[in-house]
Amino acid sequence: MTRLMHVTSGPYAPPVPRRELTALSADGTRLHVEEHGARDAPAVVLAHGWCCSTAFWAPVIRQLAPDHRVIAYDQRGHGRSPAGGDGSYHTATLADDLGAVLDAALAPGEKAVIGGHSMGGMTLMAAAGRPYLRDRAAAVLLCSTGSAHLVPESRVVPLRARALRSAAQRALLVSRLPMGPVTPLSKKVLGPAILGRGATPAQIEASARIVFASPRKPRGAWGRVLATLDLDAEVARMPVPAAVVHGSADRLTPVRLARKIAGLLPDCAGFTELDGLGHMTPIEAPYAVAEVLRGLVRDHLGGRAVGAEAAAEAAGRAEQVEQVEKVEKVGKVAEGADEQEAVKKEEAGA
Amino acid sequence: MTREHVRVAVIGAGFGGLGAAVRLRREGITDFVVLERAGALGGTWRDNSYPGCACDVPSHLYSFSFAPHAEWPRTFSGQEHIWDYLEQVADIFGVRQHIRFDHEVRSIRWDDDELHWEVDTAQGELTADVVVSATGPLSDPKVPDIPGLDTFPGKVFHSARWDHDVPLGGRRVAVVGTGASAIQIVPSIQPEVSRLTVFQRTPPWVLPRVDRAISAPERWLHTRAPATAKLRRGILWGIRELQVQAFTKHPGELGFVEGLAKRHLGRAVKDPALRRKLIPDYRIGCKRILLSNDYYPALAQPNVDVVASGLREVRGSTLVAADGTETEADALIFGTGFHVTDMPIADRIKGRDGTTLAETWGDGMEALRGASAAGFPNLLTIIGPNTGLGNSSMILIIEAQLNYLADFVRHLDRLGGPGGPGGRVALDARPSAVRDWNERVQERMKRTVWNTGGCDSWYLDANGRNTTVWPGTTSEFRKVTRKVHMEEYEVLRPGSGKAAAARRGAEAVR
Repeated sequence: MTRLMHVTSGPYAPPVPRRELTALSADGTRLHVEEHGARDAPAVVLAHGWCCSTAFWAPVIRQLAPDHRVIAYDQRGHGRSPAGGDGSYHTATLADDLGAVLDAALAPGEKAVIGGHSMGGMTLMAAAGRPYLRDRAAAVLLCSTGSAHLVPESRVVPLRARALRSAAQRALLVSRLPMGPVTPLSKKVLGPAILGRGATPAQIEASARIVFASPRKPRGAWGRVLATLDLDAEVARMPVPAAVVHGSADRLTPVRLARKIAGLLPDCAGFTELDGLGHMTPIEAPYAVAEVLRGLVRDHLGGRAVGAEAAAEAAGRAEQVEQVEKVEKVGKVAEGADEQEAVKKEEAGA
Repeated sequence: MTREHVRVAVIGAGFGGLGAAVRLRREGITDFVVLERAGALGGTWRDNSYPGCACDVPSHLYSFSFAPHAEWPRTFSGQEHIWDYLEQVADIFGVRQHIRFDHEVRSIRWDDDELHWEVDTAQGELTADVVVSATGPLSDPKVPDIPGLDTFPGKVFHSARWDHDVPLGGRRVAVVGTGASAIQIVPSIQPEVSRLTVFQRTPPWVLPRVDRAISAPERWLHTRAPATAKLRRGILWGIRELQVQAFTKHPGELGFVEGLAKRHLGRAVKDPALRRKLIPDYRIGCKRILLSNDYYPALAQPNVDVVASGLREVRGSTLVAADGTETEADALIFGTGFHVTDMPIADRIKGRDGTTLAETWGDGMEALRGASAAGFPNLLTIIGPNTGLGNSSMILIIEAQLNYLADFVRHLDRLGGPGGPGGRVALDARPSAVRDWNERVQERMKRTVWNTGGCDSWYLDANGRNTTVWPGTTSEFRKVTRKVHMEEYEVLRPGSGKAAAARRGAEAVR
């Protein structure tokens, strides 16, 4: 698990979850899951990307919280979820994990809109063939992600020569070297690689703190998975409507990767290209990402019975499983980190 | 029914009121109360809980000299830390026992026979020899009278009365005003809202804020060697003292600072149309100079609109700007400042001849050395007329005024005091002294950037007179408030009052 070094105040600080739970994945790995927002509201599940954590979704959670039940979880080896065994570094494991999270957080029969950013989007692609996705997802969002050929397509290393650039980018992906502290210099290097030119200092700071918190070993191991990724066939059998959102100035996963995904999808529910934005679209333009999620909820989840009945069921189930409910302290976001630490999780059902 | 009588009644438990309480105890006076309208202390730093609220004066300077705080977490600390600091001051100096919470002062009236103030509070009456009005200039929110505001279906609130129960996430929000509060609110809510519209009548000048966390070694050093905290404060103070001349005497020298501010704007805002809206057309310093690193970047975000015009009218959920621009909004936030030149407490204070302080100040606030108004004996205002600062810490001014308060009470004791040899006594500022003082202040004001910079600001009252800012350095102010000059006051004794005189006159006729 990682050190929690995300920003602790301001709009990019993680809000205090309404409740926290643990999802037990197929291989026994315990995943940290948070629930935010309104209790009796349509559910949105968010899966973050490589080198991120639930903290990454903070501004999107703030956007949606007043009228959605927002569930975010830490991918294994990220945030507060432990890394799996050495043999678990496959996209199929990510799909297992998502299934476990949906089982833990949603009521039986309850559907959700599921959004994945970068490796979280790849998680959704990898889950395309799983029965649970058809059952659980009303629609999905593939945000700033790619399905294959990341290493040659990326433009992170500013080298013209394709072979050299690929080699350098592969080395970066699989690197287990420590990234060191968040300094003005490291932000200058990281900022332009993952954010667009219009990014604010607060966005760069928040992103850097999230990325730099990722532990070295899972970072390198998951990077190796990304380097050899090929999920084109999975994208082509996505069982539910999928919207695509991408930054036009994304250097990590250039926008042509997203265009390809949109072309492969059997039911593309919209392609949104955000002008001038980089790879961290949920941080750079949370309002735009949230608007697409809202649209998916309205168009594909709106008619479903997601009212009090389902929520009551979910609440009943939640008690069975574990966790302490918390009333969110209004207006004191800065204290969030400490309070989260203080939340005692009862580990039942293990 | 006998009313409680105290030597001193202090109105307000913010920086000014708490400072007065600490100072009175140091003077050996324990027979005093602090009347607080709310249920908690902290004043402005309790009321302003909007997201991003922080002080724009460095914390090591924005604190009492008698209560240094080695643990300031940031160079510019946030509201919650400043509020915590005030709570600590109240405990460390044992003044909490004097505070009466939920005691809003409804009226205070001078009794010329008894030579004391009759104070009517929400929880009963009391009398006091001396009243210290420490209600503060930034305590009563000012919301402009906008036609149709009552037709707005969404939530409406002022920055200093932030409604934390109103969810802004994913909503269309409008902020009216671009002052010190608004520029902290805008970057704090921009990522959370779907659309943010900022109504700007006049753009502010904004400089970078050199804000950083104060490191653990620094805090350790300040704890172990308090002289280092003192030195830090001294440097912060000295820099600001040296800046004052430019504001008060040579506004022309501020030109190069405008260059810094323009570069600051240029770095964050690339869109020429937006940049044009944000460049002020008046001399920097005329309105308060604001410090922020994230205001301009937030305005440049695609979900933000800057309407370079005031809010003229509300038609349901449609906001109409003075230039005709129409905007839809779900929530409306007023960052429109406070009743500064028309302090509401002035309506509740009745002096010797029965007129209120507000009536006396009808043509503009004026008081002797920022504290005493003529006709209002034994009443001292903390942060009174012409005591404000454009560039430094108001705590310095408050402490100077507390010196004046201490000397004022000492003079009362010497001349008479309760049970003293001379009997009861009161001091009323002579109108001529008040006039002389204000003529001097206004003469100096003529050259200052606040009066010559070509802007309308909250420093100026309805008549365009600057009745809020001190046109000098803080050390000058400290010097002129070190002692009470007795020649500036009339000494009132029992029987010298107007009511008594009238009674004597009536008896004589009979």
